[in-house]
Amino acid sequence: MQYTILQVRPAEAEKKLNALAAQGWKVVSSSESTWVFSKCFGLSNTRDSMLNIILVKG
Amino acid sequence: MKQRIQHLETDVVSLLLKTMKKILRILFIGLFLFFAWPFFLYRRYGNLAYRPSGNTIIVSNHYSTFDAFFIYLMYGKRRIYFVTIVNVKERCLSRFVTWLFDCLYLDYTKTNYTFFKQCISILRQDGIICIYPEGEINLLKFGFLEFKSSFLILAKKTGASILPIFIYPEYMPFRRTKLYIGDIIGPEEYGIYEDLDEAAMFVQSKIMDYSFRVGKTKPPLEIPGLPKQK
Repeated sequence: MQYTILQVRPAEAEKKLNALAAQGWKVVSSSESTWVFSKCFGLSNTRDSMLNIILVKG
Repeated sequence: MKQRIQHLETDVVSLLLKTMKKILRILFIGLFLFFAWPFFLYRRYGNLAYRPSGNTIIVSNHYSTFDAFFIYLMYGKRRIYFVTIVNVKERCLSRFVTWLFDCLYLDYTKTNYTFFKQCISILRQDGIICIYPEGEINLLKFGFLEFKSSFLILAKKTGASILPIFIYPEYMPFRRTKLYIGDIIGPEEYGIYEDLDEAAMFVQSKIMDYSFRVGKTKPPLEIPGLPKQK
């Protein structure tokens, strides 16, 4: 069993994971990292997030 | 007659510039290797007999700034165009180096028509392009960021073959960087996928497999949720 990490954007995660599953990769666990970017002295905030997915093969 | 002379002049000037650039590149690499050769030792695995021929897109993971340099050391006999982001132009040294190594500039904020035009014309003339589809350096030096699918637009448009390479850089001197050269992925293989994202994941899964074969699968840090590997 060998493990690796894949970092993907949540919007396209499902599609990409399906493509990886077709290649024999299995998802072990996933977590989400989120950042908030403050603009204009905090009046405008934008969020960005990334899914950290642990995959296994073998 | 005047026009002909002007054309001839421009041809001679461009030829001179190209030769000067080539000499400068050889000098630069020579100096670099002379002073820092212990950092640029590498070992190749996988498809060792492969020599680039025809239109090819070299696709690789991106753990270090010097990944492109190793690819150049391997296949530098053929002219390789490296794809880089336009931000490298902000600094003098990186601007000079990217100019020297025939880089193609990609701007995330724009539509990049000229970039795609350049790439397509290079590939149609049997050229080689090296691209890092993750789009940025993975500083964790473990795992992968998602592959963007733009290289597949170029491949599908020109029928180019894709050469996947896994690079594991070593920053310490006298420790060899590991390069796993994969098998060529022809248009008949990636052409099966109508969806570009799926095709990109197919190429990425190949490179992920190669990372296991090189044996560099241990994370440098303790990552929560990841079992301890031997």
